[in-house]
Amino acid sequence: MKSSQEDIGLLEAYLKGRLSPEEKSALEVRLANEVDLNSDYSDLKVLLEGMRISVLENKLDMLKGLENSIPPVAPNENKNDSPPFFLSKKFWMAGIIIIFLAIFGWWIFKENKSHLSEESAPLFAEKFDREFILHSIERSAEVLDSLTVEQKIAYDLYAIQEFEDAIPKLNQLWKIQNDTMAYFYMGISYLATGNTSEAEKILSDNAIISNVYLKQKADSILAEYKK
Amino acid sequence: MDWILKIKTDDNQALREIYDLCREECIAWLQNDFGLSVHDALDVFQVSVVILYDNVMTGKLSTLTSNIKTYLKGIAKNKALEMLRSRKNRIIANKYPVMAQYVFEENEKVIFEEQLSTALMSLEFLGDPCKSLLQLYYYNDLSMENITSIMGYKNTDTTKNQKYKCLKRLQNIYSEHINKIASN
Repeated sequence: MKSSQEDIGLLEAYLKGRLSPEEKSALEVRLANEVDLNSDYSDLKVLLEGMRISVLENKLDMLKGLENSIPPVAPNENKNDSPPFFLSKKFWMAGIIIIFLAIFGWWIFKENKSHLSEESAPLFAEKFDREFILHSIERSAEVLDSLTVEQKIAYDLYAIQEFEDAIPKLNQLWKIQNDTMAYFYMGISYLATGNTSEAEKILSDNAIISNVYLKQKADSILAEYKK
Repeated sequence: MDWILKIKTDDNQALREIYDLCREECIAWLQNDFGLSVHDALDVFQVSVVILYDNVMTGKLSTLTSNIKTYLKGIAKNKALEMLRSRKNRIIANKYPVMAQYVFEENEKVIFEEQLSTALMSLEFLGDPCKSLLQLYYYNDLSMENITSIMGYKNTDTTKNQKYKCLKRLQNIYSEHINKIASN
C-alpha cells in the first residue's frame, strides 16, 4: 500500500459513501490520474469484500454450532422424500373431514326438511305427542301385526315429525289402501309444514268428517291452529 | 424489539435469538412450500439469517417495515428458489464456501472471484489480532474508541496506527498472492 494514512482514510470514506459531493468529485479526479492511489483503491475494495466474506462465514459457522447444540428439527410429512400423498396422514385427515362434512350437511338438509313452519311450531311442540298421534306406537307384536309395512313406515315418519318424508307415503296409503288415518295424518303434516290450504282441504274432506272421532280431532286442531 | 439495533450492538446474541425465534416455523414452511428436505431447509434458513445480518451491517436494511419472521422468509424464499433452480439446471455445487459465493454473485463483473478468494485467503494468512481489528473497523463499522476498548489497546492513536499497519500487511500478502497467480 503506497498511499498515506490520510489517503487511505479518504478511500475508506469514499467506499462507505461518507464523502461530500465536492470531496467525492475531487477524489475521483485523483483516482483517474494517480496510478498508486487507484491501485490502492482497487485493492481496498477487494480486501473489504474479503473481510465481509470472512465475517459472514464465521457467523454461519456460529449458527451451525448453535444448531448442533439444540434438538434436531423433526422431518416434515410433506417433504420430497415423504411417501405418496394418498398414503400421508394429511390425505386421510382430509378424507375424514370431507366425510364428516358430507354427513353433517346431509343431516342439516334432512333436519331442514322436517322443520315445522313458524305458525305451527308452538302448537306442535305442545300437543303433537299427546294429541296428534292417533295410532298406537307401542312396540308390541300384536299392535304391529295390525299395520302393514307401508303403514308402519309412513306412521313412524309422521310420529317422529319427518313430515316432508311422510307426506308422499301417507298419500300413497290413502290412494291405494284408502287409509283414512293416513289421510288425516297427511292433513296434519301439511299443517305442520305451513301448507295451510292443503291441510284445511284434507281435514274438512268428507272422508275425514264422516268419521266422528277424526272430525272432532280435525276441528279441534284447526281451531287451536287458528288461535 | 428493535432487531436492527440489537444486531448492531450485540450481533452474536441477536443472531442466536432470531435463530431460536424463527427456526421451527421457517424450516417447516420451507419444507411445505418448497418441498425441501430438512437438511436443505436448515441450510437455506441458516444462510438467510446470515444474509439478514449482512443486510443490517451493510446498511441495506435500516428499518424493519415488517415482522422479523416475514423479512427472513423473504430472503429464505429467494434462497430456496435459487437452490431449486440450480438443481433443475443441474449446476454442480460451488467450489467456494456458501457466503463467499453470495458475495461473489453480488460483485459479479466488478470484482473477480479469484481476487475475492485471494483476499479471503490473505485474511486467514494475516491472522489475529490484525484480522479482528480490520473486521471490527471495516465491517462492523465500530469507532476507534470502541475498537480500542475491545482490543485492549492503550489509546485510539495506537489503534489507528495498528489498523494502518495491519491493512498494509494484508495488502502485501494479497499482492504477493495475486502476482503469483498472474505469473502462473
